[in-house]
Amino acid sequence: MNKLSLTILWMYPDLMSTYGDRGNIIVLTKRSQWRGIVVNIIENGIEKADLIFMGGAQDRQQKIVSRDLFSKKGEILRQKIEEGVPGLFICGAYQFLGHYYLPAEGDKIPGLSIFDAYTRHYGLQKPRAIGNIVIDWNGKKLVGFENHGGRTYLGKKVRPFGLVLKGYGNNGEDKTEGAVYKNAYGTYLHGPILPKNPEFADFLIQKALEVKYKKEIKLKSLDNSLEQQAKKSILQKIV
Amino acid sequence: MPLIITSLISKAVSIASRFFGIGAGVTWAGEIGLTLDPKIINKLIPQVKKGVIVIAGTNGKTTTSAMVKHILNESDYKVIHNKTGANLENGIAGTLLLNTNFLGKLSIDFAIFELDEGAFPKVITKLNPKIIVLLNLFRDQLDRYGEVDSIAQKWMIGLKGVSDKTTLVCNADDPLISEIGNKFKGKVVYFGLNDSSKTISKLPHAVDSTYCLNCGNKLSYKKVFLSHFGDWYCTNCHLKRPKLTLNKINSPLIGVYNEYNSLASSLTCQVLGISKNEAQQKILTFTPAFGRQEEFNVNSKKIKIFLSKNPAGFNESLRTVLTQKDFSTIIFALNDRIADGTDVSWIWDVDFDEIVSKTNNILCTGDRANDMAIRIKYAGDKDIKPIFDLNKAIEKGLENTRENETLYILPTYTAMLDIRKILTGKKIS
Repeated sequence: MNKLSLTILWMYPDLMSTYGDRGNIIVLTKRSQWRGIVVNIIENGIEKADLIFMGGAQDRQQKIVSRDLFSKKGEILRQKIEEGVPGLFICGAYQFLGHYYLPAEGDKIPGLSIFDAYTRHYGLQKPRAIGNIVIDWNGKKLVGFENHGGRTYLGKKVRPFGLVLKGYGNNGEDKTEGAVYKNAYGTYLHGPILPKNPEFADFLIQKALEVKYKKEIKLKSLDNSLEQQAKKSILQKIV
Repeated sequence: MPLIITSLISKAVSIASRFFGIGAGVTWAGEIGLTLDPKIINKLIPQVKKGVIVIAGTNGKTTTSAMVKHILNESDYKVIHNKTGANLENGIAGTLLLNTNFLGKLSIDFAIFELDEGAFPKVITKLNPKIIVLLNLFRDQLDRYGEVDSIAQKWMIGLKGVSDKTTLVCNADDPLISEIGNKFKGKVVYFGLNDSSKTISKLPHAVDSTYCLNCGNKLSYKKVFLSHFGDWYCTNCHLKRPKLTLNKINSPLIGVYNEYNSLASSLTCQVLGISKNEAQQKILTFTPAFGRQEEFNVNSKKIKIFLSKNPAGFNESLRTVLTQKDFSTIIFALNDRIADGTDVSWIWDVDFDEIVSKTNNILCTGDRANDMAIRIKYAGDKDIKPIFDLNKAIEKGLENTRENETLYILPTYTAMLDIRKILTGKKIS
């Protein structure tokens, strides 16, 4: 049998990369390689992507990205997601994929409307959502660190990524965290999210392979004791 | 309230707090002083005879302050400075109050204050500084300080409130610091590096500030020296690194980051009238500050501590350790207490690939030893058992270190404090 391979698109690695988001790429790469899957990381050429990743950013950098994303690139991204290609979009990237971002002052910043959701920043009225967060994802606990000023509200065409057990999540009101559309995942979980939640990393790798090879794929299991121990100590610390 | 009373009460508070072991005497004294008299800083500052020097930046504040103090002391000036950890308003008030005599009077030539990034805008206007040194801005404790752009914005607002007689000493190699210098109404002098032997081949991953502040274009570099520092220019709008007043120094400490600290302190002293040659000579006798390349000897083995609290600092510590011939064992000590920042995700921005390829003797310790061990696992397919207890980690590290070798420890801030306590207080069996 030919070796399986994955092409991972890392969108804007220098502009959209704060809070150690690079860790997600490292984890996806290593966990694939440890199973003999050949990984190819690309920064351009969205057409070739089997798995898409984009991280958060500073405001100035988000503006530069916004200009670029509203060109042809955004449309191809939408198409890929409609086809079921998995994607992970953290914080600022998650907000980009909603309908719009309404800052505390100034005009609405339009998004790609891939997620039926919008984000609003209340300025000084609401504090920044900062701290460790725990969510329930299909009965499993995921841990992360959130740090966002905007509050996100979901529409009817998306479902939340998880339910908040501890922390703020989308808006600190309705207990939802993140958004899922087809196989695209938007979330506020930094930390980064994947190192301490290997089950979610493996889920994305598996999905990407299944969509690419159009068949059921079973991943070899790996030793996750260190990762689970780290998760356990965070849970003990905050729940 | 009269100055003399405030100063006496503050001193009593300081002695009491030290006696009862409830934290640093300086900040408590300052806190009480500010409560008794909110204008206490403004009242004491005019008594500093020759002027106040403020030092700000993400990395290098403590070392640079200590270097400036060293050169000025060697030039027979009387100098006070706030100790590390006392770099908020209360620490500055406390430092001033505890240095007054029994009449509530100061008798000093210079006061050097390192100032916390977040406290800068509010406090800077009260200090009437003669010189402000701006070292750098790196991503650091995003949960506490926010992103580098927002810190720069706040600094510029703060700088609008200082006198135009103030001189700014700026790092030209950091594009964001250059921009702050550019916008300043008073005199600005710049330091930076030119030496081609100090370059790195490409920008590391953990950089901010690499887009032109004028036009948004990606900056180009003739040379990169460290993180986003270098001889930068914009191909679109032709903005470029400002002209350097000082670009060469013999640094008393190893590491390119310490060349920047040395350049900053030497240029500061030149602004104060000390000649370039004199500053160069005097800086060579400088010994390191608290936890910054500090050395300990334990049973004929050496331990060196390199405080490493954010990606840029950590990368530079690793780069420096890798150049040392006596290196074999390294300990990473990661805490997530308030002073460290409660978010440890920054370790994923540090480049570990080279160090894990060069040694098998890596130990992970501290409150978040698990997270660090995972980071190392994913950097080099290495399985490392975390050792939460600092004492045990140091013992194990020394076991792995042979005579004539050095055990290098890279701790976050609170881990550094605890490690120093172990090394200075207790004997290790």
